[in-house]
Amino acid sequence: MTASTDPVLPPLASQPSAFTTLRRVIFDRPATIFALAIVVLFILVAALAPLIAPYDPLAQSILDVNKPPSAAHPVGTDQFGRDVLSRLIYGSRNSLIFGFVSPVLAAIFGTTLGVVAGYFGGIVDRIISRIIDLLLAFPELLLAILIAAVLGGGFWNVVAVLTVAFTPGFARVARASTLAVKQEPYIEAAVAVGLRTPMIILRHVVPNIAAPIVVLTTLWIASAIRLEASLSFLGIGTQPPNPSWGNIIRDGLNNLFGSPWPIIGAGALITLVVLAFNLLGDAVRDALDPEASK
Amino acid sequence: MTQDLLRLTDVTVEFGPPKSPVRVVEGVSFSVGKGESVGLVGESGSGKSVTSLAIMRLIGGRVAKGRIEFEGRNLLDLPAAALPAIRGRDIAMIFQEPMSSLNPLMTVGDQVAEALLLHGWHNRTARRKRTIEMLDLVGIPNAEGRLGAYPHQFSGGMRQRVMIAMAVACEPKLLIADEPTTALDVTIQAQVLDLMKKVRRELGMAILLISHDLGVIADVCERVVVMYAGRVVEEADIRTILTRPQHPYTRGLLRSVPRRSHEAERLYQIPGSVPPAGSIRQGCPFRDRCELAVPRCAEEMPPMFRFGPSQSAACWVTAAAEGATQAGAAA
Repeated sequence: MTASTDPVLPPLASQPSAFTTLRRVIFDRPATIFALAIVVLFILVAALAPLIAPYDPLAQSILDVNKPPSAAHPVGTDQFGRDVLSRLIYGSRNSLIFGFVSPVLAAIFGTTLGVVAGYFGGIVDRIISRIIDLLLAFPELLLAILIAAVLGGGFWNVVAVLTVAFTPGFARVARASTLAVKQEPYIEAAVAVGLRTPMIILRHVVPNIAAPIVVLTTLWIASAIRLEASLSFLGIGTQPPNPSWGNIIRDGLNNLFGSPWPIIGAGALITLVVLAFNLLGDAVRDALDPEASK
Repeated sequence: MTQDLLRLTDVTVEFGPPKSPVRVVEGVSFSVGKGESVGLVGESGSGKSVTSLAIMRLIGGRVAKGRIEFEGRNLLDLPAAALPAIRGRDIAMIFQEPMSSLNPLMTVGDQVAEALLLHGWHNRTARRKRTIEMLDLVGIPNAEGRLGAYPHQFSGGMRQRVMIAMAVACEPKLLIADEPTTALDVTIQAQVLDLMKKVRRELGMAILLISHDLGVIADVCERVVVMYAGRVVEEADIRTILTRPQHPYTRGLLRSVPRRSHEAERLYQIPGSVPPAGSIRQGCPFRDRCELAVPRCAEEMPPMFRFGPSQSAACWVTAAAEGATQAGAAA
């Protein structure tokens, strides 16, 4: 084989990069563009809340109690005369923070546990797997309520609650993927070349199980937003008077016939944002695993 | 053969629970001299891969008995933490499946460089230069331009070349090649075998080539060890094996190689198949498939008999016929 003739290899430029695939998957589908727009808007609103919100979300006004939408209050007011739009805008900050922090933390813990269990096997695997099974037996919400009941409310407690609730899912996926990757000859080849175990895990195992973990993280963001709203609705998440979409609905429920606008506004936003993250999660899955889309 | 690089003595490998172990490799002894190329041949299930993995201590089972000495040190006595320093630098290995033996998410250049980095090549520019040099040596065209390529952009033969580059980058003293050409088509096979000969010549390392294909072994190796059902049944230099095989199993293997002059005939096959691992407790493991078997074969496992200066085989019948003396007394 001479250097000039090289029929086996296609030119390097013709290989689509992961980024190209991602761009194609996103922009080929209107639903994904819509989802992406919602997500970007959501993040901008949450980040810029103090600049956008027309009123102080905590400011009460006896004169403006239970107003329907108007030019001054586009989504009306609640039973304390607080501007619902401002409360929804500030509430998005809670959803954003919980929506990202817990899944990312859970992804880190869960992946670590799963990879350790899958790679080392034996008694380590059995112990970790049984704990995961135990945690998975509870629905996330039930588990979250249980832990919140023990720890109480508060920001970090809710983050901890959601993280614990999500970790088993990541651990399970990471473990299964690790078991598959561990069988790959390139892992054996890495051992044969003299690589030590921690390096094999970091350089050869983790990158090869990253795709399902990333997809799972995106999908769990939607669940985290939903769960934070549920916990706040039940009164163990974000505590009033701080606004969160969950406790806006909770407050609104007591005053449903006075003003339905808090419930309608928060309900619509939760639906929209959760839907957007789910659609985005699907797009990411298709981009990382082209076989799943067909 | 005073300068043994690798010497296996009475190596026995077991799998399964310690109380009822399955012996997959039993009493295997052979050696590889410095710079020598030795072939390990046998059909599927003969324990040749397990033996090679045991040398690297990559085995899932236990080495229950015996010694594996590399440059006089028993590898089996080393603590697990000392193994990564030997793997890759002193003993390297290439595997059967070139399509999946490279990490799909790492560039080819990084994977070769990783092996170098592990064994003392800390200078980035020197490492890069060496990586290009190695890819060049194994015949990757435009090696420098290919550093950033991913394995999926390479064909099977190209990937096997990269594997060889990875394995020999640190100039190991021994290269273990486990069926390196089995998954490749015939023309690429010949290229890879030529490459292995070239690399061996240029880097002066010993090769332990594992294959079921006597043709491949004959092409590369100077000496052959024939394994059957986890035991060494014959050992000789390549010329002697091809012209005067003494073990009936080796004879069977040679007869079942297709030949152009015998085109019209039906291809010979050894009747039956390899007994399941651990099922032979007594006598010669080949006796049920052997044309020469005598009652003694069922009772006693034949020891290695010396048939000539470089040939020994484990068979009662041929040893008696040739007047061979029992080996081992000298060793």
